[in-house]
Amino acid sequence: MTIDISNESKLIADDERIECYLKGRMTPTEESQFVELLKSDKELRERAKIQAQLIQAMRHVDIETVKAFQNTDDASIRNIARKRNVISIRHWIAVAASVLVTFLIGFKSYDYYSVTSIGKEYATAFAISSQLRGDADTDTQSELEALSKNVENGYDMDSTIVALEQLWQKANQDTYNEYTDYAPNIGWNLAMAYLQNYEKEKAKTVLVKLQKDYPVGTAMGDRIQEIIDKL
Amino acid sequence: MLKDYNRILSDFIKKQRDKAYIFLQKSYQLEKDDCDAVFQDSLIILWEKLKDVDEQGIINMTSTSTYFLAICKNKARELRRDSNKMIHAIDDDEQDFSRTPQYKQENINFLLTLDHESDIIRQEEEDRLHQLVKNLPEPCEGLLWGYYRDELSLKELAEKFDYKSEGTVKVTKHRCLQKLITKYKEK
Repeated sequence: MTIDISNESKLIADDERIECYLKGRMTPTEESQFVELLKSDKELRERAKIQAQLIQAMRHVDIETVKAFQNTDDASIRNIARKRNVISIRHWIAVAASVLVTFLIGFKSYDYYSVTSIGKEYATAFAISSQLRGDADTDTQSELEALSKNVENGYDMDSTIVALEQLWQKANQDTYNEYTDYAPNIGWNLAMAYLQNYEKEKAKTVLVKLQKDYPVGTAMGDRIQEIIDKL
Repeated sequence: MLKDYNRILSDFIKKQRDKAYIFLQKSYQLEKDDCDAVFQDSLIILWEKLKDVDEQGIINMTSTSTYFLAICKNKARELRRDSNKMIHAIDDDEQDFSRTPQYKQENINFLLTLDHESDIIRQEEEDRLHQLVKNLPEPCEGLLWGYYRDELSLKELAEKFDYKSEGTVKVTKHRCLQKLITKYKEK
């Protein structure tokens, strides 16, 4: 994606003026000049209107959510709050069932076993801790280390995957940020987490993206190829 | 109508569960069972707190999501207090989530009616944006809701989401808004 920096700066300045107007922070003269400008500048008018709509929409979403709470009784909310445990029990029943099916049917469960095993086997190949550089970025490092440990230990994969997906997205943003340098390790951990969760296609997508930057011949590229061949 | 409220509630809870578990594990190193307990207690507290709030009260509150996470945080502190005397929980009732919105309603209304559109068109636009703000991807969800709903400053957003500087937040937030506008214009 190409970003026009000068246009971006103009739009950011426009947004700051819109905010001043919306918060009533303009002098009467500034305000009347701004209102006049809105009439003639279609792009500014459109941006201002969308931001006003955005504020209203967010308020309405919250009003809707609160009403949903208010329309729920005590017993229902307690039941909903406990749902996670029910899902968790279902999850373990599913795992137990898949072990049983391994004996009865064979291949499908064997595939499950193979894929999740690959995720565990390669989890530590490019652990985030191997890339951490001492004193910088303490919070970022702690966060990445904790997630890396979850993948290594197969702990709480659902939440770990959600967190890694967000970091993977941040790490691949056009703007340099605190996760950019850790992109390969975040991607690796995410792919291994997907495999442990038997999400083969999602894992392949991340691995293929990583292999564009780390082709065969590099340490990571070779490992990726090994995994892809096994899958 | 009741069915819709069930869906709205379950969507909200699903989203908050993912956020809360990540936050509780990262910030308080809670085990899964403790996360379950904190989440369940917090949800019931939120339900009790919201029982009698009217529409203006909701607008004068931080977002429901921020409110819920703050309750989770307090519950986690309470849980840790038992094992660590140095951490003291704040009672839920001591926490104040009300605020005076900085956005002027009359200025919002002026911008909304500037194009003199019909009520039908305006309703369609509102519905489209309503769906978009409910389904924003991260980091845009955190940044845009933090900025436009919780009215946090760039500095507060940088601290909350661990950005290096206000400048990074400003640009990232701007790009999020741009993406939202692009999607909004796709019909």
